[in-house]
Amino acid sequence: MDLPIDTERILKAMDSVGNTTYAFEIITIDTPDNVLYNLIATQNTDGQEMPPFIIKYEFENATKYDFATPSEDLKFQAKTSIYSYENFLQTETVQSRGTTQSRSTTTGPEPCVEINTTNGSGGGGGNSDGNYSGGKYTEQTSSIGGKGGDRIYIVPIIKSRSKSGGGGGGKTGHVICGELVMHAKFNSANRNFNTDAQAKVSTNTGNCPEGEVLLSINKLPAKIINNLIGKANCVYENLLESGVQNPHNLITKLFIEFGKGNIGNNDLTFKMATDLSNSAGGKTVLEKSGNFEILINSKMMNKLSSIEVAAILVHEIAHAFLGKPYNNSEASFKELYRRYINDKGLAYYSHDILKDKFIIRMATVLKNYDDKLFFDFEDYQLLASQGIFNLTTDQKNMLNAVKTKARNNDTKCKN
Amino acid sequence: MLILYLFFLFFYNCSEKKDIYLLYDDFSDCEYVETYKKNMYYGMCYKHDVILFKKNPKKKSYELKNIKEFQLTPKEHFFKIDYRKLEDVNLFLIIEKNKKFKIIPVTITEGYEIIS
Repeated sequence: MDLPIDTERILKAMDSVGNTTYAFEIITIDTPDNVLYNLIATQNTDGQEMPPFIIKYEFENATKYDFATPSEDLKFQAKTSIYSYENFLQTETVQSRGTTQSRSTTTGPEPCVEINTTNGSGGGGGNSDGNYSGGKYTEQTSSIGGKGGDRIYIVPIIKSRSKSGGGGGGKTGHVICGELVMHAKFNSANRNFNTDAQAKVSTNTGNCPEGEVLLSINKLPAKIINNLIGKANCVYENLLESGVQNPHNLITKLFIEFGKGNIGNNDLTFKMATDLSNSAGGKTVLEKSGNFEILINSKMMNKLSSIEVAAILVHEIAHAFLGKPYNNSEASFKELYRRYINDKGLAYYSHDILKDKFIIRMATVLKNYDDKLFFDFEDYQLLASQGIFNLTTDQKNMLNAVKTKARNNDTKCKN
Repeated sequence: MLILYLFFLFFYNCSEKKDIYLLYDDFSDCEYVETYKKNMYYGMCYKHDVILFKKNPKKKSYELKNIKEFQLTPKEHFFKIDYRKLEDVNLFLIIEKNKKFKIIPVTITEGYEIIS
C-alpha cells in the first residue's frame, strides 16, 4: 500500500560529512494539529542508501503549521518517534483516497526509537509522560543525530543555501537544501557532547534504520491548505476551477486574500470535521494567531447535493474573506466598525454583512459552479441565503424545492 | 544602598506576574470544540471565543477546602483581557470536586473565535 506523500516539495538536509537526508511530508487527515509525519530517505556519504523510515513529530506548544514557514530561530519541543517503513505500512490505517488517519500512541506499529524533547509533563490529559523505560525497550541517550540534542533543536530548514535539483529518491519534486543543526550539551566530565533527552530504542532492530540520521521537518508552506476529502474535496476543486474561469468571483478573491505574502501572513486551512452538530454544515474558526480554519461537517456529505456542499463552502469562505481584513485592521477601524454595527442595530457582524453585501457574490459563485442546474438566478440566491438570515415560510418551501431539484439532477461530485 | 534596595523592591513588585484564578466550567457554553481537543486540554468558552489550557508543568497543583482567599476572575472579564497580555499572568483553574477545590496552574495552549 502506498503512502500519500507530497512529492512537490522535498527537504534535503546534509550533515558536515556529506550524509544526506530527504524528508517528504505524509499527507494526513484527522490528525491533531500538533502531529506531523515525515517519510525519510537517507544516503550515506559513501553513496549507500539506508532503508526509508517514518518520523512522527508530536510538537509541544506548537502545531505542524508553525513549521510550514519556520524562521531561522525556530525551535521545537516534540516527542519524536521513528518507525520502519514496512512496519508503518503494515499497521497504518489508510483510507480509500489514500490519506493517513490519526492513530493513538497505544496502537499501530511500535516505533524503533522515541525521543522526547519536551519537558516531560502531562497536562489536561496530555500524553507526554516523559518516561520510556521498561517493556521491550531500553532507556538510553539519543542515538540519532550526530551531536545529540539539548532538549531543544534548532532547525534552520528553510534558510536555503542553494536550491538543488537533487534526486530525492527518484522523485521529481522541488528540493530545498538546508542543514540541520542540533544544539549539543557539553559534558565537562568526559569532555564530550551528549544529550539528556530520554529515548527508547527497540531491542529488535528488524527493519529499523541504523546509523546516524538528520531530523529534518518538512511541512508544506502553503497559505491555503486543503485537507478536504471525498465529495467536499471534489466540490472544492470544482469551485477553484470555476474561479479560474471567472476571475472576479469570490473564490479568486479569497486566494488573493490568503495568497503567499498576504497582509497578516495568515493561513487558511480547509478540513473535515466529524464532531460538528447535525445542523451545522460548516464552521469558520479564527485562531488568535490570525490563521483561519474552515471545517466541513463530514456527517452531512452523503445526503447533500454537490451544489449544497458548494453553498456551505462558499458561506464559510465568505466568513473567512470578510473576517481576515477585519481581524488585521487597526484598532481605530475596529472601533468605528463596532459603532457602525451598533448604529445599524446589527446583532453579529458576520451574517448581517453577508446579507447586506455578499449574497449576490455568493450566488454568483454557485452559478459559476453549475450554471445548468437552475434557470433563475434567484434559486442560486436562495441556496446562498441559507444560514444567513431567517427565511419566510414561502422561502423555506422554495428552498426545499431547489434542494430537491439539485439532488435529483446532481451531475458533479456524486460521492 | 537603601535607595538601591528600595528601587529593587519597587521593580520586583512591579515586574511580578499577576495571578488570575478562574472557576473551571469544563467546556460549558462552548459552541464548538473538536473532540480530540476536549480530550487533550482544559477549555473554557464565552460567546464565540474558546480558550484551551494545559497544566503548567513547572508548577504543582494542590487542593484546598475553601477558596475564600482567592479573588476569582469572572469568565466574562477574563475573555475581555487582550489575549497577548495573558502571557504575562499566572493562570490557575479551580475545579470543585467532592466539596474540595483543586487549584491547577495552567498555561494557554490555544485561543480562537468561531465566526460562523
